[in-house]
Amino acid sequence: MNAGKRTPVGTHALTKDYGAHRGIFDLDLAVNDGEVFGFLGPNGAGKTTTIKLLMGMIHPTRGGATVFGLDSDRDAVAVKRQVGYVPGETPQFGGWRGSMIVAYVAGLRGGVSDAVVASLAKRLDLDLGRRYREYSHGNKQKLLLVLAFMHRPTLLILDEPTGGLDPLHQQVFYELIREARAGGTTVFLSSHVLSEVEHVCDRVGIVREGTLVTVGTLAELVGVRARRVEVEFAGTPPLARLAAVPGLEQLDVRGQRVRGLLRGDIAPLLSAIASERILDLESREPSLEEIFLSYYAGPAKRE
Amino acid sequence: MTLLRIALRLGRMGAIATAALGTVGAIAQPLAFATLAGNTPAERAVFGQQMELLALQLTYLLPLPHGLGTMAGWIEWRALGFLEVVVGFWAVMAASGAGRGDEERGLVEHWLAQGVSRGRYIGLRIVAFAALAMAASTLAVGAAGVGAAIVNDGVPAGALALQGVALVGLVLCCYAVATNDYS
Repeated sequence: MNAGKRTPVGTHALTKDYGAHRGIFDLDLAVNDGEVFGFLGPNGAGKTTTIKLLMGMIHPTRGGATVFGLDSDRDAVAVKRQVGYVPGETPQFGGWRGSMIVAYVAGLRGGVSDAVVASLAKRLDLDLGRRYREYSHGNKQKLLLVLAFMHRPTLLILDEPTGGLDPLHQQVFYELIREARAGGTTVFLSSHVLSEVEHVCDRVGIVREGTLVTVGTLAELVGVRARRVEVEFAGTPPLARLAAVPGLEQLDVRGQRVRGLLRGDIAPLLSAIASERILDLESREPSLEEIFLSYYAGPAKRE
Repeated sequence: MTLLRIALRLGRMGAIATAALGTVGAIAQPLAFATLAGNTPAERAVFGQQMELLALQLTYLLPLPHGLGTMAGWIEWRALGFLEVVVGFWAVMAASGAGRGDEERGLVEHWLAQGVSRGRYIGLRIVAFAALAMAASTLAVGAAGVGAAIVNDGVPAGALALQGVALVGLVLCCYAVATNDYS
């Protein structure tokens, strides 16, 4: 295992193969102390499988994972003691009251302050006196957030934590994440909601079809990505010259207007159109949505 | 202790239902015997013979009849025999709930995620069920004794206690077999 002793989360060739190309394959990842790491991918990409492996809920097919130097599989109980966890699916507590669920979890965890629980519930606008089955999906998610944050864990592993939260309480969640990070907590957050990682994550890993495609800071991901360009010509667009521009892809011609995706330097494009009369030229940075989609454009490489 | 409390809570509805059904049935049967069987030994012997003929038709479900002309025989066959079916059903349902139901509801993952070991979780679920089974069986067997005492036809407490032990043994065996099937 190449992860250091204090690395909050480290994986080495971590693989869970469910067959038929389902699962997660050869994942090598290191999450640094005190950072918020976003694990981004569409449904079925392997995010939840990775999180269950980190939590020691399932056994890897090969490879391994460490949490603060502890083996996630062998030392699963010790790992879980250090982690605040929000599962991808809300458990069904039936008619139990929110306060009862909190009390049970606090009893199992120990060292939970009533004041912290009350503060979290107040900020998330959650009534702990109601029965779980009466909670909306959003309120169930809020309760899971209270359970994950209330014992002040050193690592938070959150599987799509904002599912069902309204925008107002999503902002509260982002505040909680920022406060946790400021307090030295490391956060591993899976999501397919791009705005979520834009809000809170320091680094992002993009996973597709069980394979980690890339890892980088948000700035790096934006930097390596192409830009959207749109040119409106006064006359007929010079398609032959445009097609020859290095890195200009996905040309879409509609009358005198040409749209495309430009990877790399913009100078060759400007040279190609310099002799034309231009009515309008637009070039913009890609949104994270477009970055995200670009990583899903082609098939994943897997041996 | 928290995990044991959780396990007891998870099993309480089945235990309450079984205890209620068992207690009501067990207290009612001695009262019914006193009403139906007659007061003299001869009347009770005739009643016992008639009931044994009927009881032999039900041996696929209830135990073999023995001494149905006596209060003890009647309690063993009619009250506790029925109760054995009830607790067996409860044990299977409880085991399926602990083995599959809780997992499908996401509860197993939830409790394990709090830093509870699988062995401790399973062990305490079994301990909790055993405690609930003992409580439900004690109530039912005790109710049979109380019913017999009400009609002044008491049965030996030691014999009733042994019936209770057998009942707990049966329910734990059913739980173990069902757990094995569901795990």
